[in-house]
Amino acid sequence: MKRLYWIGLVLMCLVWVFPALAQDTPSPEETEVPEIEEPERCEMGFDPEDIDLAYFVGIGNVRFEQGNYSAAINAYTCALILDPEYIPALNSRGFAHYIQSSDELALEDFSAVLALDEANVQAYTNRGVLYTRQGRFGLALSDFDLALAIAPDFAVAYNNRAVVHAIEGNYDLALADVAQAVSFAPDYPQPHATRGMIYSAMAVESYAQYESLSEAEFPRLPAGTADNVIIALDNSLETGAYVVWLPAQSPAR
Amino acid sequence: MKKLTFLLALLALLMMGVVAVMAQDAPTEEEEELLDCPEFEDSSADVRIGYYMGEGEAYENSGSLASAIYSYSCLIQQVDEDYVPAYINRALLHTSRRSFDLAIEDYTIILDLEPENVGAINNRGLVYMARQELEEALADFDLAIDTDSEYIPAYVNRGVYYASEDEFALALEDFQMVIDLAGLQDVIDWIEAPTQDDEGNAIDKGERPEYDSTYARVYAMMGVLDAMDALEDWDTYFQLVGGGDRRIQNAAGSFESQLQFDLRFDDGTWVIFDDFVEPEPEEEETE
Repeated sequence: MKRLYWIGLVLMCLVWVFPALAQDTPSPEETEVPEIEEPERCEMGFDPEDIDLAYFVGIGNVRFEQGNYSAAINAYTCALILDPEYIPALNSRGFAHYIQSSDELALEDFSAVLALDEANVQAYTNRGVLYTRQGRFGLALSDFDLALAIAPDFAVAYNNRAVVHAIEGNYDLALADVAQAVSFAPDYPQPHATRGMIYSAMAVESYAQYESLSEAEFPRLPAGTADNVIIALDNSLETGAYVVWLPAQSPAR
Repeated sequence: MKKLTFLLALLALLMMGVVAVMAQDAPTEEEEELLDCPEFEDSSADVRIGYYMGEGEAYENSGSLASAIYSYSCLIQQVDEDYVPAYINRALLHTSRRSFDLAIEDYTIILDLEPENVGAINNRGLVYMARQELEEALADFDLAIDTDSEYIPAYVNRGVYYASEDEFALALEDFQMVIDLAGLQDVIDWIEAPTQDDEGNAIDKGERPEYDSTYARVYAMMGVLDAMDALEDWDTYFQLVGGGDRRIQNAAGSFESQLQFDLRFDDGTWVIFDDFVEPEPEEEETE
């Protein structure tokens, strides 16, 4: 049950990560640019010939940021009506579809990008995130591997791959990827959270191991459950009171 | 003597050095903060202009005015410092936020770049008016009309200015220009034209002439000026009869209150800001 809880948290972590990625993704598979459906109205304060299509991406990104995903999708689609192969709009729309759990539409967009540009790191990364949510971890790892083959210092892909490794219980690989992410982008906050989650997952597993080995013969740790121990450790780091560590020592007999 | 000369020269050099260092360290007012504008960083200026215009408009439409200003500032600071549409949108936002100094600054830059941009001249005049800098306001309305004698908003705004300064004759002249330029009389003629002849047969009036109803406000303002005239006549009447007819007293009291509170010319409700939106061209019929 506890493990399920932590896996849930790790998946949530993916959702946080996603906004940071969205902007370029491809997969060189048998994909076609999806047909564009006319959205509401594509209002534009300019003659379309006078301004770049990024105009609609700007509108879409604001609507996305404000949580209005359908309106964001409409804005990206406006750009795609004018140019069905406009990669930034395909990538961003795919991402918005992902958030709305329209997995097929998201996949269509990411794959369309990859059909147009098979080296699009963003599309590989975003599709990997989508595959992760779907539990298709092998495909996800393969997409993150491809992203890193193209952009070996892309911290986001390292972080996302770390999450998949963590979900699969491969904590060593996960920690190695997080370390890479941190080394390439020390100011990118997500890998630090991911690393905390990995250590927490490891802590939960260690406590479970302790409980299964100790059965009723040994007392529980004074701080109680794993959650409580983490809170006590947090307090200890803040205050310098180290008492929480003391029961972890064993006397020599 | 040589030693003294050498010491003086050394001192002078040291002073120059110190001044130079101080000049480098002390931040000037003109040094502006470098904004964080990472979107499409490696793309061309055209792409980035498109992005930040879209971002700014979307923020503006959702009421996030400070964010919209930031988007346009990104464009101006890091992409193209001569891109007039960004200044226009930012100036309108500064005006909405009553940051009048900044709005005037932006309109002035626009006019350096496009001296004949009548919309910017007109709007700057209105911002001056809001700041009670009436001479500057009038100068801008005059300049807008000199630049484009068919630019209607400047006549409306100058008329409002004259009316608020009790220059009623000049105000009426400007309002009449609005009626002429906007073709309002043709519309009134069309509205008032009979639909049937004396024998009851329908008359084809044709299509109503196209017009912009924004300018109909000049009739409302001329009505207010008429009300002011009426009040003046009633005051004269009261002076002559010492009191007078109760009906006129009631009407005068009501007019006076309306004119003092609801129908003021200087409350900013009558003027017309240029929103720089081009009217949509009529669709050409295709066979």
